[in-house]
Amino acid sequence: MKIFIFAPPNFIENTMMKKMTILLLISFFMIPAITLTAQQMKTAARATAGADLKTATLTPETFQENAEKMVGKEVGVKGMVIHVCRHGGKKMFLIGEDPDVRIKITASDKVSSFNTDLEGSIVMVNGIVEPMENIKHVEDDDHPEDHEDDDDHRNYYHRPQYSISCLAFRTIDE
Amino acid sequence: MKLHWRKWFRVVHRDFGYLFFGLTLVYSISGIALNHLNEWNSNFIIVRKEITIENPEMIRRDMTKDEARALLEPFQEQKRYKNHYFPSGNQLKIFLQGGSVIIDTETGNGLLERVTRRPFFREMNYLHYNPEKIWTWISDVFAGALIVLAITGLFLVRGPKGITKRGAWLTILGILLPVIILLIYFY
Repeated sequence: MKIFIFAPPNFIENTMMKKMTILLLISFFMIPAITLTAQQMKTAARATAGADLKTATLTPETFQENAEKMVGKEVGVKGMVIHVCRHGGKKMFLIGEDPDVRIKITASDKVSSFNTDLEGSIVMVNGIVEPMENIKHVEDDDHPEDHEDDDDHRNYYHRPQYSISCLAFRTIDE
Repeated sequence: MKLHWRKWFRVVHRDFGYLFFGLTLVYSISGIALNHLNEWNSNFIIVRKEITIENPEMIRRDMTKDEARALLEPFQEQKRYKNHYFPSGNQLKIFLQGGSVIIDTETGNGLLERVTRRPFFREMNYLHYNPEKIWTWISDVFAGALIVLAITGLFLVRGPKGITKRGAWLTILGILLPVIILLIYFY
């Protein structure tokens, strides 16, 4: 018995194999159709999400001040994109007036990645507030003696940090 | 009915090999590229050029977009201006369409960076980073297929070059390699 799974039908001698071949071929050629449908659904979902973007948005500064109370909640933040991860576009950073206050926006199931063309753009982001783990303190490891550890020294980087898991975003022309 | 399992293994191995040829190349090419990410940026072609602003005293924290744009005129980059900000006390960063300029506000020395997407590799890397939910499914199927390919591949050949002789030694060598690395570096 010759067995051909992906061979042309006229080469197939076995009826069961013929059925299996047809089934596999149909499944294989349905992949682009499924992909296209999924893409269309995603585009529609994003457009809807974009339309629902919160108008009452926070600045990165007000977000940072209040993030602790908003963990797990949906927020809207507006700021300028100063960096998009060059590796996979899975995260980007926003600033407002104060360039030292940077908010990390991470990709999610809803928004899979960010384009590097966003750098320099003003964006409005909707997403879920998440606490950031394993924050590397900005300390000079070579000179630990220079590091003061007192209450007056609790600067921005010594506080717990929060990121936003992006549900939707859009650029704003300013 | 006798089950011709070796024949089925051969059929599955052959057809999975054809079917997943493309995905294997996607993951292997991007795998090499991502392994060497620190030495070579496979996503972007970045061209850097040192520049000097003749009149850095023009740079002020409250400068307007038009003033920032004017700084780019000697380099014919003014039309690509997008935005600007001051990342630190003496640094100005100007975002351009497809690039950026960072300028030392005291010396006027700067670095102009033009960023263009690297074709082919960028697409491969995009897929490797698992961009969409549907790709999770596709890559899961691919991963399963690799397991099937690996197992069926063991039993393709009979005789002295099969899994009972030469094949056994090579298989053991292939398993030992990651085990040795784990023993040295992980434990």
